[in-house]
Amino acid sequence: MKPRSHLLLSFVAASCVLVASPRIVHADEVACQDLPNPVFGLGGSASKPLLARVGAALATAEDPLTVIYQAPGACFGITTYVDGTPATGTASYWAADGTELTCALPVTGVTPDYAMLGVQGTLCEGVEAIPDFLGTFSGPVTSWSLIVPNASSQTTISSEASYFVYGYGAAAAGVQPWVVESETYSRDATSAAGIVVALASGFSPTQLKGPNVMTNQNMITSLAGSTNPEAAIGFVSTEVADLNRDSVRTLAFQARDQTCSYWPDSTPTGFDKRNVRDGHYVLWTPYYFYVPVDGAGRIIHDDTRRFVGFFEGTEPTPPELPLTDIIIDNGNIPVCAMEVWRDEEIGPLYSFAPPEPCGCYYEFSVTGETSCQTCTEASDCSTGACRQGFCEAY
Amino acid sequence: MTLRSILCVRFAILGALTLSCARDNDVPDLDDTSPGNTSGASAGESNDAGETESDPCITPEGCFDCEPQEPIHYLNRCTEAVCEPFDNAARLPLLNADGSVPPIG
Repeated sequence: MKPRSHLLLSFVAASCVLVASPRIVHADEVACQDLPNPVFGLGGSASKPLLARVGAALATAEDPLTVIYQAPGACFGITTYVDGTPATGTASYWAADGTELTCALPVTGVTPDYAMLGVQGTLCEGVEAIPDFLGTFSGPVTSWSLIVPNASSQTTISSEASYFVYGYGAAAAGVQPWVVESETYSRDATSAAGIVVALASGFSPTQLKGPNVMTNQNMITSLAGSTNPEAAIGFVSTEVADLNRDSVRTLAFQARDQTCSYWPDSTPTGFDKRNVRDGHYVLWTPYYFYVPVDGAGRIIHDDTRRFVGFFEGTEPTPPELPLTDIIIDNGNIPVCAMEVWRDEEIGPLYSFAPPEPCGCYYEFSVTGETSCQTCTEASDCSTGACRQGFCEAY
Repeated sequence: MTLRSILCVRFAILGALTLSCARDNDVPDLDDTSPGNTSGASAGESNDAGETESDPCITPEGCFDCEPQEPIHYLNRCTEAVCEPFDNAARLPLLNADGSVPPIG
């Protein structure tokens, strides 16, 4: 099995194109609905890098899908179904080489084929329950990072500190060095990142303080461009933070009742997401797809059923879409590699045994090494089962 | 479920969780705040009284070294991962003496 560490370099290089200096080509007058097999999603900006990779891969498939996405904020994805407000304007889609393109949505607006959120939709304001006509489908795990510019000397933060900085108010709380309100970059209650930070810090997302920068990508720009880096702080999905380690650093996070603060990875500079997988790092959620379904719970739109089915494992992925590897390379965690789970965001943890574990494969993919035995068939494993070339626990 | 009730439930759960040990504080004092610690080796020194924890699952460094049975065990489970304590008492001037936070006005 070839180590995957070499892919990290290409992942970083490609990611610079996707996020740090995106080549966005405005394909004027291209109507989104005229693209090949379009699947239009609405939601948060945190998942955009993942969708970009998936979109680029599916653009090359023998039976292509065009992944189209508009990212006004996570909660907009679900509220559009709740209040019936259609999406308008332009949306992004990706060419096979990863170039981000834009297309025009219908002038009269369109209901998305799916919503993609980094939190449960019921955590959004005005969403008491998920509408009956929507099915809920699971995506990979993402973690969330409180970040500072690399020029900052800060390395760690606690839930209580975040409560003061983002809930109480930076200037009033006096938590050095984060005492400049204008440098406390933030989001609002429509943002999955904002909701997670607020919940983990012990206050309502509607109480978030600090200037709202609107997107994960803008958060990076704000911190990278800060003229007072020691005072600057923000938060993004960890995958976005990881793509921008040349500009920002994830702070280790110490939860309530926790005796030490931990990074998502086992070291500050690693990529193994060890602490997310085993519960030491609490800032994580699975992605959720909310999709219109029929009375039997089946996704109505054929292409969307196929697209979401790739993530759920109910649809065979084309050879052009090595989805597990894409998920891992993007900095997300496939559910099969998780060792803990919880039933609500930032809720109580419990041990988790995924149906078809892939922890060994995940570890090898992100670190280039694992203590697991390699295998080509079941008989190679003295215990457990041979999965993706490794003897997993079962 | 409203967000307020979600928060109330969460704090009730956290309040009910305790490491199964007999110690003076819910969270052991950490004397060693230097970065680069691993909680398995030295998340801190032994507790402030230098006493041996009565709970066999709690190491002298203060991490939980048994199979997790409660949510709090996962948070403080011994690990080779690097960790760095954040000193709430030293850095949060508005923190209440009991470690709680004041309400947001």
